[in-house]
Amino acid sequence: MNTEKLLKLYAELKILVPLVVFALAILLMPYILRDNELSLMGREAYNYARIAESPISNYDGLSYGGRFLIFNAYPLVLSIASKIIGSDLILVSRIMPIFFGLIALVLFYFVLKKLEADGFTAILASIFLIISPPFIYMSTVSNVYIMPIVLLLAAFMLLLYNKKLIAYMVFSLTLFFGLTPFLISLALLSIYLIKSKNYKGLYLILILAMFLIPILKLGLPEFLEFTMLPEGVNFRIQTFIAEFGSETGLSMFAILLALFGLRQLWDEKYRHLAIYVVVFLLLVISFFEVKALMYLNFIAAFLVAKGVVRLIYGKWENVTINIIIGMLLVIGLISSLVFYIGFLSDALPNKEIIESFDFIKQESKENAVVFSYYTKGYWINYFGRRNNVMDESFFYAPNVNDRYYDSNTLFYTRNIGEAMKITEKYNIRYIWIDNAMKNGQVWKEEDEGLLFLLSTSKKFKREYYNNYVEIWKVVR
Amino acid sequence: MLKKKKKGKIMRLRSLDVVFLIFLLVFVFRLFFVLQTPNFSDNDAYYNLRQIAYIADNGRHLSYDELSYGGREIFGIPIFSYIMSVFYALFGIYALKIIPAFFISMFVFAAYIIAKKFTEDNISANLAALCSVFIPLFIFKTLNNISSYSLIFLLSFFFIYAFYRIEERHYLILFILLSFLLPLMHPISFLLAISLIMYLILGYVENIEISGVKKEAVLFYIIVTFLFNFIIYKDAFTQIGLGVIWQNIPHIVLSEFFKDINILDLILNIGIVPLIAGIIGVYFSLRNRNKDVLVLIAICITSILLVTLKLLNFSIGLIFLGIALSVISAVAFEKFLKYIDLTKLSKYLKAIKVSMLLFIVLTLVVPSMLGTANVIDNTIKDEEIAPFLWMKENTALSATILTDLDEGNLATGIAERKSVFDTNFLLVKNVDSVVEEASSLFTLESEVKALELITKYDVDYIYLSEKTKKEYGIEMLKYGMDEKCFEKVFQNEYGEIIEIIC
Repeated sequence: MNTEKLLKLYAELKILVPLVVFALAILLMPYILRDNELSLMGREAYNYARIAESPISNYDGLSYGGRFLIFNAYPLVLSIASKIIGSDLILVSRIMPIFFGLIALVLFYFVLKKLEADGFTAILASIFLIISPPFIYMSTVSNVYIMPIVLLLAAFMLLLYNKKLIAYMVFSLTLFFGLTPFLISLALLSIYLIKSKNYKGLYLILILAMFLIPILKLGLPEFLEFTMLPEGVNFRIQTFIAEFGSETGLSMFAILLALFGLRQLWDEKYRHLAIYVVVFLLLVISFFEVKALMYLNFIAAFLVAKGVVRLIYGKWENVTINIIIGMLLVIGLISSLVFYIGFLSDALPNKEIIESFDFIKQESKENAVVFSYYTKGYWINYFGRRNNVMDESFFYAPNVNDRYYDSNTLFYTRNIGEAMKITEKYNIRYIWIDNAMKNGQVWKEEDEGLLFLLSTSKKFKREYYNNYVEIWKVVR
Repeated sequence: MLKKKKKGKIMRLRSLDVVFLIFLLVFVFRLFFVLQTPNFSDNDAYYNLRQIAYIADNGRHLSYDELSYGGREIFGIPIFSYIMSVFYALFGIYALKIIPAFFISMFVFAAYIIAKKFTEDNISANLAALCSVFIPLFIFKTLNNISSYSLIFLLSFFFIYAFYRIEERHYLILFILLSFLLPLMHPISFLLAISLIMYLILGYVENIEISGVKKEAVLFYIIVTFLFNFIIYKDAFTQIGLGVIWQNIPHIVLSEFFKDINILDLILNIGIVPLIAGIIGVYFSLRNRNKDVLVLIAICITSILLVTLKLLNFSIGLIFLGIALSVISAVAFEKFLKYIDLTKLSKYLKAIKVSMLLFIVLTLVVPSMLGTANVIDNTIKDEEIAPFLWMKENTALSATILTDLDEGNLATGIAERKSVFDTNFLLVKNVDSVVEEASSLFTLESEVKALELITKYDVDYIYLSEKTKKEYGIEMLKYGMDEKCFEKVFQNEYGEIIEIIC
């Protein structure tokens, strides 16, 4: 390595090391603020931690009372990492997202540099990425998207360095992390190939798409006849904005700055058509799969940086207004970060939830079915080690629509006969209810549907309760 | 030359005198009516009164109202209540009648300086200012009540004036200050934000060049408004989404808040002079590509649009439309007077000016006076207050009172007891079913059903006013015959109180 290259590397390290240290400090915050006993944040982390116990198995005996499981490499990665580190899956589920988050950050920085973004914009974009809620979520809550995002960034990096073959191989690896990440990767690769006028490369997309054929053997998954919104989200618009309680939403201040950035790009009209198309595409996908915002977040960080550059260097006729707008947005971004870290560190499950499942684990038979709202399904499986009626893994879930409608019927019926019929159909032994369900997630009234039956019928007996949870046993 | 200067100075003084006279006229006019009664005309005033009194006593606002709907959160920072609390602490309750009247009367200055900005004709500007403060709906909705609108209309139009002169340092500071203050005070700041967007669109469509500073100012105001409102109403947005635009108003009363506009409404509520002269003013302004008037035209379009789309309260939308048209009417007056000056009628110019003034007085001031007398006649009487004072003195502190929707604020404000429902709907859970069930308690026939609802809402007293009887078409509660359960504990000519004793 010659001196020039060494100096270049040193210069990059001088920028990257503080960035990584800053990112690490931010990503550790939610865990530092969180009660250590509560272990992981959210719900899906528990699902992957449980599947990682037997990552190769294609059958899950607890989800939906037993179901076929499509292979996903993420639990396998967790399992391997657990064996290498020699630590339990919970700790690995904490460490791995942070580790991959930092890799994603470094790759993002290099991709920007390679795309000839100036040094200042690349640093700014990396900082805005670090403080963005979707990045913090992605890098702290164990989730299936972190790996494909890292792979995607690595593949783009390789493409930019003209290592096409390895890049395509890395692209194809995203298939092992689920259909949505793979399809997003294919779409983004297609846009890149069209943008770089490598039309022959599009044949490769077809070849990669052929990887989907084994999935088609399973037949088409059941089309969901109901809409589901993320936990705590009452309206679709909320899913896009972190300040409104969305786990993976963008900060509204970042959205405003990104609009400035788009305006900056628009100065060169259609030169950046690919970016507009990618933003539009990811927005559309996010409408159906909110986690796609994690992908959009990388482009948003770049646009935010562009927006800030415009605010700083743009031609403003009134400097006072310019300064106030800039200050408002930067203060907003920082307050959004503080709010989000607090939001994440307070995320469920809480102590009461975990304790309630200890009761179920001790008191119920191993094959018992516990009924609750579908967003509690992963907890029932992980903490209680019992069957749920349904959870959030809808893809190829058995009779998912029937289960959803039956669950709703059970939640809202005041007819004991009808309620008992459903409990018998799914062999439900316990009903698990928390305050969130009683405060609008399921019921709005104190004596609505099943709540009325629980308080009046002898067919249900309250076996456990604490400040947050109550568990009712179905008496047969 | 010197003579000309002197004459100019005298003219300017005269013009300001006229504006000041109009201000005095409006202020005295309002005070005359307002001071005829110790009570307020609007039930919502009693909610604001409670908030103001709380601030005056505790130095901070009521953020959780334990009386309304049996307990609910209050959003935002009631800046208007903070301002009023200072006067309330110093001068007592009459300050709450005088100060809002003063703020509203001050509007004449805002209207005048804006009209003067784009006409340069004192008489036209004075006539426009006179029209703007005598718009019937503007008077009826802001007379004898404690409402933040009395300050918001004034600040909104000063804001517009500051926007016109934003190139000057003092006005830039004023613009920035008001840009922060208005969104903090009231969500109506959205109307101005949308109007400014409409202004840019109109400028683009009409090919009128808008200066860079103004574009930046628009951007600045939009950012501040959206951010502040999103932050203040974050929880409301989270819980009821875009329903926050409709303030969580239950469906059965939504039609009273949001109505369709028809021409008769416009004439009756705005007045024939501002309406016709305003429309003519819009026509000439667009033809002459007058960029200053464009902001007011944008306000008119936005008000009509939002009211038509049922996104803005009908009365508030019409008031904004009316006062914007009134100010624009200065353009029509100026054109008309200039035209007359060119014709053989120019020798009668003075007479024509006096006729115009008389016409405005006849079509705006006189109807406003008559309507105002009606507003004062319909103001809550002492006898209507008496049942609530009785409840304040004779019921348990934790008692819950069922009144009709409009009277809910009297229960919380005067009786200081919990209301089953009132007109503060934001963030009330299941507001539709609460309003429907609570209202049904006035018309139900089945005692069993009534008692079920009475238990559900923990009702201790039912206040049945004559107004409520009229509204529901009842003589008495149909289920209230059982003396073991329902006992009449108070009665006067305006209403009765029934205690639930079973």
